[in-house]
Amino acid sequence: MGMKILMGCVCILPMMLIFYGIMYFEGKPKGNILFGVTLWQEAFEDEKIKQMQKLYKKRLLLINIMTIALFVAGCIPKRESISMSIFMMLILVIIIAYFIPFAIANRQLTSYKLTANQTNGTPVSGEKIAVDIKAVANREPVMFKKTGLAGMIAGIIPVILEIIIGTSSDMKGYNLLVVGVLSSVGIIMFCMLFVYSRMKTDIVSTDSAVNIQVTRVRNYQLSRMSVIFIWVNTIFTFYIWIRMWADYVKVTEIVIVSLIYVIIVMAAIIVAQIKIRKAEDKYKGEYISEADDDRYWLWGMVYYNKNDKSFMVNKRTGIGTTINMAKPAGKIMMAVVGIIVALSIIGSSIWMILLDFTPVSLTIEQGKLVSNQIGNEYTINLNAITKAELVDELPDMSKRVGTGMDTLYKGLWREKDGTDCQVCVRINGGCYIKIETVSGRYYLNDEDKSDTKELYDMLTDYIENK
Amino acid sequence: MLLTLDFSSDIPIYVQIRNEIVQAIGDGRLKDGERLPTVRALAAEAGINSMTVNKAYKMLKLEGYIITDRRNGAAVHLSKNEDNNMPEELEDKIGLVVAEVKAKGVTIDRLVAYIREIYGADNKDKEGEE
Repeated sequence: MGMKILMGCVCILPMMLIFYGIMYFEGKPKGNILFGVTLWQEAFEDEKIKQMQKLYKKRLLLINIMTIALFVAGCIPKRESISMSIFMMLILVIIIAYFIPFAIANRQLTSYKLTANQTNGTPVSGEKIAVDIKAVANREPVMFKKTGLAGMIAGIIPVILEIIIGTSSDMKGYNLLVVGVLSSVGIIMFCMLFVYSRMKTDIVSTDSAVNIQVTRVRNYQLSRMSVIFIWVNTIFTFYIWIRMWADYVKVTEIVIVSLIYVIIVMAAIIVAQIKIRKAEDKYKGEYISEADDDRYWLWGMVYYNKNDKSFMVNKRTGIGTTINMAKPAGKIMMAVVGIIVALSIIGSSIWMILLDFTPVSLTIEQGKLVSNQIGNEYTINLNAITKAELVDELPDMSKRVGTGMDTLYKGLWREKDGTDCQVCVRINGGCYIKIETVSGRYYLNDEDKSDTKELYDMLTDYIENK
Repeated sequence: MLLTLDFSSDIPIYVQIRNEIVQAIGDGRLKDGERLPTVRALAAEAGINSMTVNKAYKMLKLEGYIITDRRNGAAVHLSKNEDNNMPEELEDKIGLVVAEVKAKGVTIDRLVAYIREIYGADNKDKEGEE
């Protein structure tokens, strides 16, 4: 139940609120653009368009209700694996569902614009772009380059230290992977500083000085956000690397620190985007752009322009930037992200159900104690066992690598006194065998309590007779 | 100075770039000596091929509206016409346009007022009087 509440409070509900907030603001006009459609000045007074905006908000609310209903439905099953699988699918649903009202509104408004323009006799181009020549000629250099570089290099230090003075050999690869992935986030964010400086200039006015200023504010805020991200990530990488050396780490501590990390990064992103939006609103005045590049925006959200060499462009509505899907890098990035998200959600759901429903077995075969679950987990030579003890409760321990479900503990765990132990037990309200061997400690059991007790008796007989 | 390019127009993009820059020089949005973006930067910003921008810049250079050098890129160049001579290559074009305007029934006063508007001559006269 704890895991369900944690998933709901930490993941599903915040995600729902974030998506609702983002899409709510996406529904507001930016300049003369609404739902990704370039409109004429008087259009915002048009009753039909006002009605479309109302309908959009209603649809968003409907998605909210649907998401909450699915979350409640996901809490009903008793087995954690089924609930978690439903939650995982719900994440996928949230990612897609919140964009549907926007896409519908975009289609409706595009066809309405076409009809209105045909009535007015206004030609619809959809392929008109505007460039501020003076702003392009006065492009700012990359901002915060030195601070970002220092942060990025500092973030690589744990990786180097892990390679040189790394922990025990069985964990070295895993530790290296974790700190490596974390420090690569810093490297990516450092590269983003160069991407920001090359992004298209913002056009919010016919006055080039204003456009230069707004673009400068945008680059400054985005670069500062990246540098904060780099340094927070570096501190987090150091923290994780240091805690890898600790004898005992509580999962809650890692969760809390990770949450703080995410909150700081999210706050930096939101603050930067709000300040950019404020600067645009402050300077833009009554300017209505002549540009109309609707044709390059699929569903008003996805930028697809084969002629444009830019990788990142400003979003038409709302805040932030988006990638050009016509660029090979854009396609690859989306394909990789899509595959990773789909595989991780579907794969982890199947994996959790398998872990939860596959019985744990413990047997003695040809002088060896064999623990099986999905595969062969542990094989211990009986001669290597020095002591066996039947315990009703598992000691206070934290997971290092493996599974820590409500119903199953598996993998490498560490006890509070700092002793590492190999675990493969079904949590069934008692009856676990604590086994001491020459190579380390194990906690094992069988799906059936009586079978576990029977096996324990056989083990003790064997040790006594040895 | 905003450069608006219409990809659905029949006018080639390099001609659109050339025309917009000439118009901006004419109405004073681009001043003598003002730096223009490099070919690569403008192409990247507009999302067009560098060759297209290069073609427009070459055309502008040939017509004497800009000067280019390898170190500083391109800059606006206003030619000093001390003799106040009408450039030969423009005479025919203006002649044709005036004929078209006349054929459409526009009066000479309206045409002159329009030309003065483009030149910004009314404002200059007013400033002179003050």
